[in-house]
Order: sequence, then C-alpha cells, then structure tokens
Amino acid sequence: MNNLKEVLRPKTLSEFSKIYKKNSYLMAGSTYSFKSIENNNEIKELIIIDSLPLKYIKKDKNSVRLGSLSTFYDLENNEITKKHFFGFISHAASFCSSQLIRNMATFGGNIAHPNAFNILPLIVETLNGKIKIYDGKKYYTISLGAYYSKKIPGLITEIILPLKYDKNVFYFEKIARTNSSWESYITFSFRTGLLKNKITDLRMVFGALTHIPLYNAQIEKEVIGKSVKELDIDYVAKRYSDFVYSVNPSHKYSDYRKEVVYNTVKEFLNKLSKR
Amino acid sequence: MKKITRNAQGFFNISFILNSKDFSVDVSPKETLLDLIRMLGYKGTKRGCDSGDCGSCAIIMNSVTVVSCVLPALYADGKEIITIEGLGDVSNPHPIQSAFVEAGAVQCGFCIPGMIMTTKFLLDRIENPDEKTIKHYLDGNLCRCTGYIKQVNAVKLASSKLKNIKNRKWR
Repeated sequence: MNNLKEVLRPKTLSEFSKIYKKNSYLMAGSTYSFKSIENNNEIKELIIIDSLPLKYIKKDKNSVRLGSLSTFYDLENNEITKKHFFGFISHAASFCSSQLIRNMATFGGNIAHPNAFNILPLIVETLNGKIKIYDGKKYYTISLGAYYSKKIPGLITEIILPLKYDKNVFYFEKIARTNSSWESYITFSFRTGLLKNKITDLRMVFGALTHIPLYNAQIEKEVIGKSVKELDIDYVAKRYSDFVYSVNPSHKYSDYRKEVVYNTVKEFLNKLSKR
Repeated sequence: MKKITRNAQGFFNISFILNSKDFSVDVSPKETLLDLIRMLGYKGTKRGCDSGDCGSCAIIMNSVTVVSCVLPALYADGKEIITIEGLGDVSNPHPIQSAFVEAGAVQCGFCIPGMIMTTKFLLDRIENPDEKTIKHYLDGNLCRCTGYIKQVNAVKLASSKLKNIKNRKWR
C-alpha cells in the first residue's frame, strides 16, 4: 500500500455512491483484506465500509435478509438466524475460525473473497440465496454462481435467503482427519424438502474443495421426486463420492475425502429414511 | 464522510480513544494496529502469530474483542479501544485479572492479556456461561503452556466475582 493516497469512510450508501470507482478497494472486517493488500502498490484509494448501515438481520414475508456487514458473531447469535432454517445459519456460522475472527469477519467479505475455507458461500448456495450488489449507480440481485462467474464489481449490500425452505431438513458439518489437518477439510451443507417420505427438493453442497462451493445438479435431479425408502442410498452416496473425488483426484487427501463423502451422504440419507 | 489524505511525510493522521485517553497520531498505511498500540507504550498487548490465529494481540474495539495484528492502524480512526492496561493494573486489578491469578491460570503469561480481553467480551454478554460456551469463546486464544483447564476455571471464577460485585464500575 505504498501508493495509498486516501482513506475514505462513507456513512451512507449515498456517500458511497459518490466515491466508489471500479478500482476502489473496499475493506470491511479486515480479516481477509489487510494482510493480502499490504504489499499491493496498485491501491491508491481505500474505502473502509464498516460505518455503512448494512449491519442488520431482518425478516420479511418471503425471506430472511442479512446485511452484508453482519459478522459471524451476529449470525451465530441472532434470534432470527437461530429460529429459521432450524438454526442452520447460526450453527454453520459457529464453525468459522475462532471467536475473535467471528467478531470481525463479515458475511459480505466471506462472499467477496472466494476461498476454499469460506463457510458462508455454502449457506447461500444451500439456501438458493441471492446476493444484492450496489455499484454506486444501481442494484443487481444475482445468484452466487452468477456472482462468481460474472465478477460484477461493486459492494455486496445484502444476502437474501428465501423462506420457502424454512421447513426443510438441514445438515451442516465440517470434517477433517484431525483438528489440525486443514488440508483434509471438507465441509458439508445439505438441504432436503420432504413430503410424506418423498424428496421434493434437494441441495447438497460441498465446500473446501475449490475456492467456491460445489454441488451436482444432475445427481440432485435424479434423486428429487423419489421416495426416501425406495432410494438406492448406497448408489447415491457412491455417485457423490465419485463426484467429489473427480474435482481434484491428485489432491493429497482425495481418497480420504472420497470415503468421508460416501459415509456422510449415506448417513444423511439413512437418517432421512428413518424420519 | 470521513476522509483522510496522506500528508507530505507519507503518513495518515488518525484520531482515536485508547484506554480513555484521546490520541491523534500519524500512521503509515502498512502499520498494524498492534504495532501502533505497542508503539504508544501499551505493551500488554502481545505479538504472537501475526496472522490472527493465536489471540495474543486481542483488544476491545468499540465493545468487541478483535485481533489487532490483522487490522491496519488506519482502521482505528474514530474508534474506542481498550487494551489489558485499560482494565486494571497490579494495584487495582479488574476482577477478571484477579480471577486468572487466583485460579492459577497464568504460567508464562504471554497469552493471558488476550484471554482476559476475550473473557471480558464473553462476560459482558453472558453473565453465567457454561463450560461449553467458555471453550467456544476462548477457541481463538491459544496457550502453549497449559491444558486450558485452569483458564476455563478462571472464567468461571471471574463470572462469580463479577456477579458478587455491587459496584458495577468494572462492567
């Protein structure tokens, strides 16, 4: 940051719109930013966005709306996130790093800086959420996949999670060979809609495999509409383990991950069949 | 909107409150908040991993405990910061500090300022935390001397001490 000339701290989105340029560098919680930009001499202007009114968690008729400056601590302890989606968001947020990081890291930052260990993109993908972006002139509301593929510059203002999945079955787990074996980590984030033992909806997302979360729409399509009792659980678990293995077969822990995915998917589906 | 421009010497002037004192200092863009705090003489805040993993550098900023080693000093502009020195001292310790000493939770002591700042954050929010909650909150404060048992006991002791204090100035 040797060439940094100005530091700006807007308090409103209107102020933000006046100063934002496509090459402005935005900083929120700073858990990602500072160490990664310390030696970046391209940055001339730093916009610290922590004073913007985007730290909220609210609910409307159809969705839960999370302001992008909500921290992991907020997500973990808020009554709305604890109550809806069977506490799935709150539970998942508690898995992030340490308390000190959960106090600082923001939802928006976790989405904006793709990293294999990010947890919140999995939540957004699992809940089929939308991301609202403001580029200083207009707002865009897009899916997570579109956000990562189109790389739309701007400020993430809000994450919208549809309440139509509120009564689904959820599962979130982070598994590694040992607590310190970070390279072997794999994160599971599952959601299923069930109606009289029939799978009406399914989203099984896997994290820590690449910088963005992954799911397999083809397997999901094959499973949706089937009765849990008729489902060939072993076959589905094997399909998923092959899918995860195929992402990076040369990875040091690809065999371990394959086995874990097989066992976890099987356990999840078996539990569904017992409901 | 607050705007800070780089001065002719290449620094940014920031103002903040540290342990109830007003400060106005020039900082470089690459300086961390940890560097700044220690440079100002508050050396109770320790440098450990320098990557936000160990919690030795924990401070309270605007009522929230954060790691100061990953924050740019620039970020502190307009904030209110409390370090371990702001809680109490040897002659007049904070009940949490006393609890850590009484529970025998301090060995080399390097991690303790950070642990105490996290404990303050926890007890400000949950008056009587159970063991699971204490461990969850202390998960970012690493200690290389102990097995964490005495620190967990210290937090429980601090919780009971604070409950019994009628004078709420410590809270």
